Amino acid sequence: MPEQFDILRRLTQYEITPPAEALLRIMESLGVQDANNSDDDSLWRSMLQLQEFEIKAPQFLFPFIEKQIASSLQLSQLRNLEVSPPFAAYSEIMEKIERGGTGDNGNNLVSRILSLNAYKSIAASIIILVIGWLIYKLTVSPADINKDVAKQIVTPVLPTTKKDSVVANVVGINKKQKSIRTKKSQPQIASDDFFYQKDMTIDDYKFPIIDNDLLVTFAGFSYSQVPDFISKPTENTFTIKVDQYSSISVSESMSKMIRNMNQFRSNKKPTRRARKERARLEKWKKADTEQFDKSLKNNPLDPIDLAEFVF
Amino acid sequence: MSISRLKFFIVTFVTGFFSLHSISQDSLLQSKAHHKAKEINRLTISYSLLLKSNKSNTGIGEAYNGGVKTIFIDNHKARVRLVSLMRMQSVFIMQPGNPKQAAVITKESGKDKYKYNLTAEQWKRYYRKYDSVSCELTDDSTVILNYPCRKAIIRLKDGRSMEVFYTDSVSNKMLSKVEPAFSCIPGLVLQYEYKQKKGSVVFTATSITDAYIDPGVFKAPAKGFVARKFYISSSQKPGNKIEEEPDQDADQENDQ
Repeated sequence: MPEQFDILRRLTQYEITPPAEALLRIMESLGVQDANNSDDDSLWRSMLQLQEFEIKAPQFLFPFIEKQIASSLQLSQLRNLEVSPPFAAYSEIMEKIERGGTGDNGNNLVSRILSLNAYKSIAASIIILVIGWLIYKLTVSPADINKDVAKQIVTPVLPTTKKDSVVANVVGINKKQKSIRTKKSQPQIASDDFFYQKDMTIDDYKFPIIDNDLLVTFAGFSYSQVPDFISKPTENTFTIKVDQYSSISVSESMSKMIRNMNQFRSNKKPTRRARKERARLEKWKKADTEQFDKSLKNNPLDPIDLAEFVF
Repeated sequence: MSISRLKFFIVTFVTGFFSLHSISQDSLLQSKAHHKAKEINRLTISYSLLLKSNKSNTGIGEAYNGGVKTIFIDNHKARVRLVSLMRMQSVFIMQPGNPKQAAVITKESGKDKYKYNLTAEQWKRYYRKYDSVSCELTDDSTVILNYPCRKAIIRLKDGRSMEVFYTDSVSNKMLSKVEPAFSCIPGLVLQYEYKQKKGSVVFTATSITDAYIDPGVFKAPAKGFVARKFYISSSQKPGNKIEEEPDQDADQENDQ
């Protein structure tokens, strides 16, 4: 009951503004054509005043109407009025639901609607995935400096012969060689130096030397190419026979570094330690180049220059 | 014989024995020293490179540790070659008579192989550190590769010094050209060591032979090496900016 009187009170404030052209139409219908005409001008002014004219309803009117409504039987009946849906409506609705939302023509009547929240969730997920991928690429992936060493890599070929090797082992090694040879490799620079080496020998195994650079060769093995003396060492050191005059005794700590450089995970990628060691090697190479290759101020064959560089 | 007399004879005998022994040894060394050194025209000497340090490893030095330095000499030709994990490098001493090409320095390892052709003047500048070195011969001795060696101390004019052990049993006129640092040493150096506070670098001879040497060993490479102009920077420290000083004497033709 209080709500209906509230509606009535709001109705007392209700007003309708006539259309803007209503005044012009009225003037036309009254025959007023020219506002500059003195007779027509006075009529215009009168009509404008009339436009602003308003009469307020008498004060008793509202309570009277209110009383009439409150006691009106028809309105109270209307309040209780209910309209029932058609009897067959429910069964028809259920039938259509069971049919899968398709109409009589077979067209889909029910469309899939995704709420706006779902779109937001999907967009947020995609953005997070993209950001995560960017972070991984920029920070977690191997350092670019390793690429300088990697660029020089010519994929080494596994040794072909070993003394006293059994046939099965040789076949196994040859199979691996085939898979390695299919990979692309950069051509080595030809040199007519007498000592230009293509191979070095370690524990009766021959390995090609990449760019005549032993350290780059050791850093260039991939997962399937790491030789046994690195992956399964029997001793802490090894000796490299470069040529008939030069056999290098690799120290224990250097052997360890070479082993660490060639550690791989199960997904055939180098471990974090391997990447760190390769990065350290790259730094060494750069320092060596800076010291001995930029000019002839320092001589690596001179013990004084070498000692002052190393220590 | 009384005990006191016996003691006297024993003491006298022992004293006399060791005195005679030391005299005889000295005579042996002196006789060897005075014996005319054998001039050998063809020599191949290999040295092992060892870096010693108080630490368990020498860091970047491990890439040089265990390396081999070989000196090849055949009459007037010579080559010094260093082979290590870090790099391979050679110095070719050319035959005399051509002052425009006294030596060739080559870097044989890595992607960027290069070579320098040095004139006689540039060769002197390259080893200017050893100008006016002085040698102090000492009485210390040792035996290396069955060669009796004496110790000498080489002092540079800037105060740095190097300990060497040399044998005068072997001589060759090319030795002073091959190793200008040892120009004042009267013989073949079989071990030399430069000590620093944190460690030392030692080259020790592991073999000496006069076997045949392929002439190709002494031929400076022509292919696969980029020819560079000789220059020595005025200041160059590891990690610092390099200030280049173009060599005013450089008038080299580019081979390639």
